[in-house]
Amino acid sequence: MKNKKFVEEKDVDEMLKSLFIEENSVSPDENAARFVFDQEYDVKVNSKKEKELLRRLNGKPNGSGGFWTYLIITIALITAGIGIVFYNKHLTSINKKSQEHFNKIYKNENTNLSENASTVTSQPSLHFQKIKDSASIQLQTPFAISRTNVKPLNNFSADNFSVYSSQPDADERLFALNLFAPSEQDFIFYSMVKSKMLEKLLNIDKALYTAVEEGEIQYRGNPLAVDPFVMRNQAITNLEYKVFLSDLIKNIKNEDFKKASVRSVLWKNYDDNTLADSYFLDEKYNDFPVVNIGREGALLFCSWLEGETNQLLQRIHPKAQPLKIRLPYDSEWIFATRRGYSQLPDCGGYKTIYDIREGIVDINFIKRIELIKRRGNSKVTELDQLFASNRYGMEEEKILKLFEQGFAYKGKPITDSLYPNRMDVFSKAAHVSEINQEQGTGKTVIIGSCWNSKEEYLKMVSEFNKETASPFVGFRVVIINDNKASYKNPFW
Amino acid sequence: MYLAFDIWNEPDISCLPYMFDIAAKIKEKDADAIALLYSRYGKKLYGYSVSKWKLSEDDSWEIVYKTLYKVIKVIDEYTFENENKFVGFLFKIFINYLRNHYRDAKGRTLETVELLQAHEKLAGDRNEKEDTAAKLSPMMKCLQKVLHVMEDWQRIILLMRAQDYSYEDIAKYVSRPAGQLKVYHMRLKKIVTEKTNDCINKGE
Repeated sequence: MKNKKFVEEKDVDEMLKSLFIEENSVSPDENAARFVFDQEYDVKVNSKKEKELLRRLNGKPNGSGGFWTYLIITIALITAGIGIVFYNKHLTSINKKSQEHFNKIYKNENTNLSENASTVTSQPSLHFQKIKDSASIQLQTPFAISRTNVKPLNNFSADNFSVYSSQPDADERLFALNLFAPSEQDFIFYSMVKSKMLEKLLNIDKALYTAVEEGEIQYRGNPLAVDPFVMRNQAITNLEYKVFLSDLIKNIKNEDFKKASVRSVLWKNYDDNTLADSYFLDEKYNDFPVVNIGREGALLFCSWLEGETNQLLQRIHPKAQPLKIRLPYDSEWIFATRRGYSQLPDCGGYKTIYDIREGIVDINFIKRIELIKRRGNSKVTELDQLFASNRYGMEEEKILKLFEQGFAYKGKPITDSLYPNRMDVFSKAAHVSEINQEQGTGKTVIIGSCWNSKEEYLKMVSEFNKETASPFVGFRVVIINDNKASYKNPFW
Repeated sequence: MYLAFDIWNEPDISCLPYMFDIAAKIKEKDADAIALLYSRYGKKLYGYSVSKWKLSEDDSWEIVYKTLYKVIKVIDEYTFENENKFVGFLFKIFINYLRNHYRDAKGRTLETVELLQAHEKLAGDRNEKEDTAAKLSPMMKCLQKVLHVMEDWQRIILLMRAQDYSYEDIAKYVSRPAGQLKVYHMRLKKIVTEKTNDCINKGE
């Protein structure tokens, strides 16, 4: 005892630093490394030292001067020049395709609208002009793009709309049609976000995806074997959906684009006019769940994501079997919840996925959920309260306040890219029911979220069925490795 | 086709193309890839050394150089499943050099010196077998033990706060409001101190 040295609280930080060095020098903690690389450091960087470092890394002798430096600069300039020329050509081609695409879409729409509103035909040109304008800026400074100077989306402003104020029907139709019109910089930004989306999916990034092992559940009174699957942790976000739509535009998939459009106008059915204008288009909502899309749009998203993912997978592992990406089955949702992989809000009301009176699940499931809830009660946070707030029938002002609470929870909103921590918060602050498929029949089932009563839930479902979309319904995806030969490793 | 590397004046590694490409390009000794390696990781490590470990600018440049040089030199011997693996690999090399720096600057803190004295080989040349044999002081072993039974978010708060990261920065990673982190942190430090002393007392 007499030789023992004890720790004082004031020394703990120094010891922790030492331990951090020690542990990471042996077995690096990837999360810690990520943390370090994700931070911004307010430190001045000496450009001379920077150049010196690069020179050393490239193995060049110091101060050997003139000729080689001149040669390298010349080659770099020539390469950059060639790059810019090709890059401009590439942008011009995207621009041309986009214009053609918008032309086609709006031309079709205007043909339909012309019976009611002949003035509507002038609307598309506003968008084309914006695309042209942004493209011309882009062509001059192709390398100046970063997430900090990516231009905001071309929102559909009230000014643009004033021309049509005397035509409410046309106004409604235009809102119903997705007015998502990305600029050239947006296209580039979305393509980078897409890279990140696919990488996270293929890596089964734990912050975004959960690998669910196979098992068995009691489903509608019968035992059901559930195959292993990877489930998305949060609903698909506005940003991810924008990435998808921008790809449809680039690839000139007019029909798909129309089917997949976000019908923001549906917010208006609930007197949520501000959200109708901003929820999908305003970047501050990028990490919120995408809503007002129908089953058709959700299926197209799945099919697009599947195609893109498999393309990348093939590039990395040419022999890999393709993955399947689809909407979850209700049984998978129930199974994931039962295993405690998925969280459920507790509002004390109607439980869409485990109503024992309807024979959806057995009594053991209820017990399990109660257990999870009891365990979690000691850790209830403000976020859980947001999660349990049902926004259906709520005044817009209150909804906006809830969203603000979500922003406050995560500090000032950042609008640039996929950040799982933010997505996690916003998927709770703005949580939605989700489009699922019924196991066996494939019928659309809307499940999840938190309902005050069964009547309220059924009312929302009937409104969803009528409009084929709703501001209270989003979706998530599951990924299946269907390759039976590698069944022992279902998560690729 | 990826965009030219020059665009990453302020690199945000979170939205860049795949790691597979940079690793492959470094293997080809592509100068652009080296520049990208620096702009994506080297610059951050420089900021990290200067602001969190209070190293001088010259020392920081030297450690960053050694780290990147080592990565370039040995990358042929490795394959990386994904970017996280590569980032972990790079970070490990950096931390080893950082540790050597502390070892050389003996006396900075008692525990650090005590902790590091068993390691005399060059950081990049150490292997894991040797590492596992590393001798921690009983005090550090107890701290390690206590830390390992804590939840991830608690560990992150303690380790990152010890490095002077702000509560706002840490809050993003632990999904808890920044405003509450100070209280959490104080409680956790107290708990860690008590449990570490318990462990020392029991001679575990």
